[in-house]
Amino acid sequence: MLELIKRYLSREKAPDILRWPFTYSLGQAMIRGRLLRFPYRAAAMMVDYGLEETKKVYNRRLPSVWASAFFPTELLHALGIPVFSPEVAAALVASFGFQEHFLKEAESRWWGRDNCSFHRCAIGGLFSRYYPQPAAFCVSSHLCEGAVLMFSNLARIYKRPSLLLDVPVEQNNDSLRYVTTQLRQLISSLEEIAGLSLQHEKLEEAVANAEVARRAMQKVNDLRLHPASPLTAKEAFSYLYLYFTGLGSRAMPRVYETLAGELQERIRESEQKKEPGRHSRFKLLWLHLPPFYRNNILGYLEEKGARVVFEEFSHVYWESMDPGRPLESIARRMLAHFSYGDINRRIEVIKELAAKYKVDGVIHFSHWGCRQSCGSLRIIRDALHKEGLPFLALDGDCVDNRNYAPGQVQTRIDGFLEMLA
Amino acid sequence: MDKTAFWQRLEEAEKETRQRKGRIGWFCSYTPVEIISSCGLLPYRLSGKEGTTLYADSFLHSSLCFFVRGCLEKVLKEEKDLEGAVLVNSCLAMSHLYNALQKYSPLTFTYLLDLPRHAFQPAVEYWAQRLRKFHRALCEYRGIEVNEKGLWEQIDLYLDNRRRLQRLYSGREEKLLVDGHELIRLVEAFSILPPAVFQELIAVYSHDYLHGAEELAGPRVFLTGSAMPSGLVRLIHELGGVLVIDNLCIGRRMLQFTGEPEKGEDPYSFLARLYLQREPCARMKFAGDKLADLEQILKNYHIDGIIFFYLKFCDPWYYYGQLLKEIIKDIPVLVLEGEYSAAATGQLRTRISAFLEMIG
Ligand code: SF4
Ligand code: SF4
Repeated sequence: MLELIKRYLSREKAPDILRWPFTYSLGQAMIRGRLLRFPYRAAAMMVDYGLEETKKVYNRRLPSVWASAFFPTELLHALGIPVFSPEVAAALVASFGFQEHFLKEAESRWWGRDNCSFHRCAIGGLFSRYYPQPAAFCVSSHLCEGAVLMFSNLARIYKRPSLLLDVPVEQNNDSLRYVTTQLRQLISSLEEIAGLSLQHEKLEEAVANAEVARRAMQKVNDLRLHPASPLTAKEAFSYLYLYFTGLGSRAMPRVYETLAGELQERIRESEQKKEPGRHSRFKLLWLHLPPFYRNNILGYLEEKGARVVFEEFSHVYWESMDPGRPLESIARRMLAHFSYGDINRRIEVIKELAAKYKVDGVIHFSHWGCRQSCGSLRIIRDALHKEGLPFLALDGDCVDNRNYAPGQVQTRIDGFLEMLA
Repeated sequence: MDKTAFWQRLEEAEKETRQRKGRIGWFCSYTPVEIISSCGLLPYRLSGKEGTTLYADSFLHSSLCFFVRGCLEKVLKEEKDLEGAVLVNSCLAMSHLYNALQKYSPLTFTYLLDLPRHAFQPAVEYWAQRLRKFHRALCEYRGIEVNEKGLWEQIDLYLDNRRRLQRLYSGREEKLLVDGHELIRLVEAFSILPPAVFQELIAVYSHDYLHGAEELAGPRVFLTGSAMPSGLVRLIHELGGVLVIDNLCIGRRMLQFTGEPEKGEDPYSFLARLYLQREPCARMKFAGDKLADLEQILKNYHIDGIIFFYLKFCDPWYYYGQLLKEIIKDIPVLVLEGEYSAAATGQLRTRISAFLEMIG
């Protein structure tokens, strides 16, 4: 199947195929007819939802927007505006092994290899007509500066509006007011762009959906504490699709609740059978994202008896959201991100997760060009060493595989695991 | 005083300032120096150490710009008697510099100011609140009372200096008597010296050197971009270019403060307006909007060519450069990528020289 898709994508006509809504309906039919199989029902539901959303983006009945990874999608779901996430698209493109084409497209213009490859891939995808041209570019400023800059340039080049949610680093009443005011303005701009008007109940519903999703995510995270939890880090990473694009949607709470139910079921089964549970020599915490192209890093760790039991990105860092105060709740979620501003915030969360999941060590995948996650690595390392937690910064790239050298990575992992032993 | 003697006097004043106690280092042109000064401390702009930064490299990641690594090296290795540092959350590299200074420097006061990316009213209000909070924190650190009257005095003093410098920048559309690198040198002194000392010097300069000098000839250049090694600014002049205007945070952008306080306005709101509503730097949301007006400005100034420099790994200016190339069609643009070092400017010599020849 994958081979077939790849063959299509590398043809001249590939952009057309990607732009056919029919392609996505076909995918959905295959899932529903069980021609495509998934390890969890939740995963099938998620892919079905993803195809549906992508279909909406490409069939252009409604104006769609590009939304950066941390933009509050509750607003978009409340308005019924289809969301295209260029970062998620980059991860998908890389998982199909097709990233090089996009990267080279971007590099042949202005964007060199010192920039984040998620962004290069997005630029290549847009310029080569694979990605849809949106009605607007929506971006939030926390965490990723590159996205803010890229979106604003693309908006200018494609003569579309760019909407920026400026998220301050401080968490207090002033910043809450500043973000809430902007959310209100964003809604009016989006209403104007899409020719829609927001019904307040829809916004409340979106926030209620996000809240149910938050609780279900938390449940999944807690279930992963169980030694018999079968969810692998690789699988957990794939659900981040929803975190990036689905908060506010109806699908997200359903998927996570289904996943929680399935995990519970499997844990119970394994307990009944008195299975010993998954035992590994070492438990690890993963920081930042993994590479999305074909690679064997997580597999190699497993082979060596080390298992990633949790990832920083899966952490539910925001407080419960109140549908009665939708904008304030969204603003609080925006301001709550621990990886932004003073590095102590991130360190505290890492320590908390390390303790909760009782890990033996921490791996940071240092994605080249991500200034935000890599900038203060030394401070993180020092802080974890103080706690007696071994730390490995694994240099690499999440999307661009041209410098991926499996041998080197394995040697570094070997060294690290020896230290843990 | 002849001009050489003037520059000597300026350098001596800078040297004396460097020995002073109570210096607070700052890096970004959005830093409200008026507040620091009103607390009896000396706001002192730090440029990075040029060239290799072996020590700082072990603390800051290799994908952060050379400027912030140079700044860290300078604080840790050379500026041992600096009292504190005030940073602005202007770009990710800067906020990581804040993290590193907080952890690894012996400074007794380190502060990060949360700068908005918008300039509309809610952003101005947010910035005003940040400035007020910062003033309080600094007063508390010093063990003194918040004195708004004293702050107004410093605002006036700095505004006066900025206006004097701005005057030197005005009228450059046609006849040029002073090359832009001299103006940037003066802005540098303004960013280092106690404001009253600078006021005396700038009065001498404006009085003695702006009349009767010979008109400069050569290809007319507009210089813009990220933080840059100081040698680069001089190099253009040495190679025969005439630097007419710049859009640099070490140059003209430090001066474009316009507006008067409104009746009853508090000093923080006034400062917030001054800082946010001046010409934006590349990290601001509206930087691209301003680019649309640039072509006309360049025509008014009879600019023959644009030199655009960005430091490797500087995202804000890298993206700005892309837009500049996209929007400016009628005037040649030389794009230079570099490091923060004098040696790197040497390597750029041939390219700049060829460019000047082409546009000359
Ligand atoms: S370019 Fe702007 S934000 Fe960056 S250092 Fe200069 S003044 Fe600060
Ligand atoms: S040169 Fe660029 S990356 Fe470096 S501090 Fe200035 S704006 Fe930030």
